Amino acid sequence: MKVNLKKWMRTNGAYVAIWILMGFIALGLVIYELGIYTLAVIIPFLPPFIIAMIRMVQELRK
Amino acid sequence: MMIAHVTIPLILYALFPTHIELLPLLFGSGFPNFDVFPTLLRKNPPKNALAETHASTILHTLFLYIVLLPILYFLLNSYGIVNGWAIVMSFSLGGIIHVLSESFDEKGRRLLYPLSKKFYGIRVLPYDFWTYLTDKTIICFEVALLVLAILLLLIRPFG
Ligand SMILES: [Zn+2]
Repeated sequence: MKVNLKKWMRTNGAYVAIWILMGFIALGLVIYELGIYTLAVIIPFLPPFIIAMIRMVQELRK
Repeated sequence: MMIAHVTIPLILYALFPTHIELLPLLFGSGFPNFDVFPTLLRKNPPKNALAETHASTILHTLFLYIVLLPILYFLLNSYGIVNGWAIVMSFSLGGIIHVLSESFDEKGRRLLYPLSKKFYGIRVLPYDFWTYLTDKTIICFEVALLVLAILLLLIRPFG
C-alpha cells in the first residue's frame, strides 16, 4: 500500500489526535488506580508496540 | 481497539472493585497481543489482511484462558499467594474480554477452539487498523465507553 503520509495526516490528523488524547486519558485513569504498578502492565507490551509502529510506517511507504 | 484493552476492563473494575484485581485484569486484556510477533516480523504483508497470524493463534481463544485458570491458581497457591483466585480470575477475565470484544470485527475470533477452528462473531466492526482508526461511528462509540468508564470510576456504584 503506497500512502503519502503527509497527505494522509492532513485528512485524518483530527482522528489521530482524538485517539492519542483518548490514549492519554485511559493511561491517566490506570495510573490513578494503579500508581507505579502501571509500569507492570505497560513494559511487557512495549516491544511489540514499538515494532508495530515501525513496521506500520515501513509498510505504508511500500 | 481501545475498548478491548482498557475501557471495558476499567468499566468492569469500577463496577466490581472488590472482586477484580486491576493489574492482572489489564495484563490479561493485553496478553492476546503477544501473537502479533509473526505478523510484525514478516517480510511482506499478506494480500488479504484477514489471513495474517495476529488474532489466529491460541492466544486469541477463550479456551486458553479457561485452561490457564486452574494451572495459574495452582502455581500462585504453591508460592503462598493468598488472593490467588482473584488474581487468576482477573487475568482470565481480561483475556476473555479482549477476545470477545474483538469477535465483533469482520474477521471474528476462534471462539469455539479446539472444538472448531472457525472464526465466529458478530461482524459489525472493521478489522483493518486504518479503517478502524478513521471511522467516525467507531470513534464516537469508543469515546462514549471511555466517558462511561470515567464516570463509573468516579461514582463506584457498588464499591
Ligand atoms: Zn487482539
